[in-house]
Amino acid sequence: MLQLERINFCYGTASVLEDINLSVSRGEFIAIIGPNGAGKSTLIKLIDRILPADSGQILLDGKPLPVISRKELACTIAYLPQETNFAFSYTVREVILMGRFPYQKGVRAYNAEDFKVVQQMISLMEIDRFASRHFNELSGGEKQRVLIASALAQNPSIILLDEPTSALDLHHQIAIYKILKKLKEEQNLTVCVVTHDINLAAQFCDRVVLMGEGRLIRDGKPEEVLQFQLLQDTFGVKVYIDINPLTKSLYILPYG
Amino acid sequence: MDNPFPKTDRSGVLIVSLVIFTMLTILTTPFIGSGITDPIKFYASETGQQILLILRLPRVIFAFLVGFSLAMVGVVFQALLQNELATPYTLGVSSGGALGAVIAIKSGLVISLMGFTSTIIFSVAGSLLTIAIIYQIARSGAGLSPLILILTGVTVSLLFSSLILFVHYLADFTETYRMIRWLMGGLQIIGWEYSLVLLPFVLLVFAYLYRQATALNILSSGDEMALSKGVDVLKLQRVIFFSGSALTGLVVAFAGPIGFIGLIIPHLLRLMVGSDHRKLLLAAPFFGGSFLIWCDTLARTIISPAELPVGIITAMLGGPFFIWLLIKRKMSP
Repeated sequence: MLQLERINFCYGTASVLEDINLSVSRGEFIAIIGPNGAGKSTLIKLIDRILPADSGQILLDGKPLPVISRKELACTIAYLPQETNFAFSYTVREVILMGRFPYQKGVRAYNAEDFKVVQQMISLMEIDRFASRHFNELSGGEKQRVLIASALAQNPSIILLDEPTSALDLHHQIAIYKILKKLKEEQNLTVCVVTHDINLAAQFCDRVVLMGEGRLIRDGKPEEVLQFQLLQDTFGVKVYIDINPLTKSLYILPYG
Repeated sequence: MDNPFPKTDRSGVLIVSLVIFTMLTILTTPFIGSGITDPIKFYASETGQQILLILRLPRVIFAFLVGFSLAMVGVVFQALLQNELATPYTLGVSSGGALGAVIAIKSGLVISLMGFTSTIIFSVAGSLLTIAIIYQIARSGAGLSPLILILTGVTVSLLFSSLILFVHYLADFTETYRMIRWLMGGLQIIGWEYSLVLLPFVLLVFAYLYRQATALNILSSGDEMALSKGVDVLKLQRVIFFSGSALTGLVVAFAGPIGFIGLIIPHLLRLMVGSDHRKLLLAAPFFGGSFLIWCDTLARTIISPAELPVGIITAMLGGPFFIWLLIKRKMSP
C-alpha cells in the first residue's frame, strides 16, 4: 500500500537520505533500526509528508503523496514525533480528541462518534486513571500512552512511531508493542516503528529495515537482518546474538 | 451513549454570563458620567439624547470593538507564536502604526481620505508596511517559525521605537505633546464612523478564526504534530498572521496603542475556561470588550471634567492584576 521510489532528501547541503526504495504492504509490522543520524526519523517524516522529498516519489495506494490533502492523509497515516510539548495546558481527553480532527467537516464540532472513539482509546491504552488530568502534568510514560491513543483515534491504516518506548518502563514497553501487534492482527494495521531497542523489534516485528548513513543497508525478516557481521559493521560494536528460549526470537547483547 | 466528557466545568455558564455582562455593560455605562443624576429625565431632554446617541453610546460601542479585537488577536497570536506572553503588539505592528502616526503629526500634513485624518492614514500605512517587512523576513521554506517571528517582531519594534524618538527629537513642544498623547491611546470619538469601519473587519476575522478553533488547539502541540493530525499549518499561520496584524493595525490607528488588554485578558480567561479555543475565543473577546468599556468609563469620569487617557487605566489596572495573578498561581500549584 505504500511505495517509496528513489527517495533523496537533504537538509541544506547535507544529504540525509540517498536513493531509498521501500515497499510496505498492508498489515506489516516493521522496525527501522540503525545508528543515530542514519536518517530513520527523517524517513518516516517523509512518509507522512511532514517534510517533502527532494526527489523520487512516494505512493500511497498508488496515489502520489503530494496530491493527497492534509486531512485525507491524516485519516490514513498517523505519526508520533519523538518529542511533543504543548504550549498550553490541555486535558488528556482533549489531547486524544485532537486525533479526530481530520474527520471534522466545516464548522461541525466533534460528535458522539468522536467521543465514543476517544473513550475506546482510553480503555485500549489503559489510561482511564488519569484521563481527566492535564497532559503537561503527566510522567513521560503516561504522556506517550496518551499520544499513542491520540494517534490511534485518527483510525489510521498506517501508524508511524518515532521511538515510542524510549521513555517507558519495561511493563509499558511490552504493553505498547503488544497493543500494536494486536491492532495489526485484528485490524490489519500497518505499523512502522523507529527504535533503538533491537530486542523488542526482533520479538514483535515481522520485518526489520537496517539503515546507516542515509542508505538502506538490509531489509528483511529479523533473522535475515540481525546478523553478527552486519550489525558490527553498521553500529561499530561487537554483538552477541542468541535465541531467547522462551519467545523463540533473537536477542542481541552488545559488548565492548 | 453517555457523553464521556462530564460537565464538571462550568465554562459554558461562564461564557453565557460574560455575554450577559457585556450587554448590561453596554446598556448601563452610557448613563455614567457628568451631568447625569436621573437617567430617565436625562434621556427625556434633547441635549441628553444627543449626548447619549452622538457621544456616549458610539464611544461605548467603539471601546467594545477595540477591546474585543485586542483580546481576540492576543489569543490567536499566543497560539501562533506558541507563547503565553505574546500580545497583538509582539510582532511590531503597533510600533509601525505609531511611527506612521508621529510622522503624520510632525509633518503637519492635512489630508483626509473618506473622512479619516492624516494621522490615521499614516498609521494604517505604517502598520501595513510593517506586516509586509516582517512577513518577508520571517517566511522560510517550511513555515513561519514562531521563534523567527518573535525575534523579527521585537527587533522591528525596537528599530521603530528609536525612529519614533528621532521624530520626537525633531518635533517642537506642541507636536511632541500631541505625539505623546496619541501614544497613550484614547477612545475619544464622536459619532459612529470608526465603529462602522471596524465592525465588518472584526466580524470577518472573528468568524474565520472561530472556525479554526480546533486547529488552533492542535497547533499548540507543535508543527509536526499538527501536520500529522491534518492541520494545514502554513496556511493557518499565514491567515492568523495577516488577519490579526491587519486588525491590530486598524485598531491602533483609531485608538492608539492601548496596552495590556491583549495580554492579560487572554491569560485570565485561559485560567478560567482552559485553553480550548472553542471556549477561549468566545470568552476572551467578550470580556476584553467589556473590560475596556469599564476602563474607559473610569478614564472619563475619574478626574471629571477632564479625562485620563484610557491606556493609562488599562496599564494601571492590568499591571498589578497580572502580577497578583502570577504570584497567586505560584503559591497554589
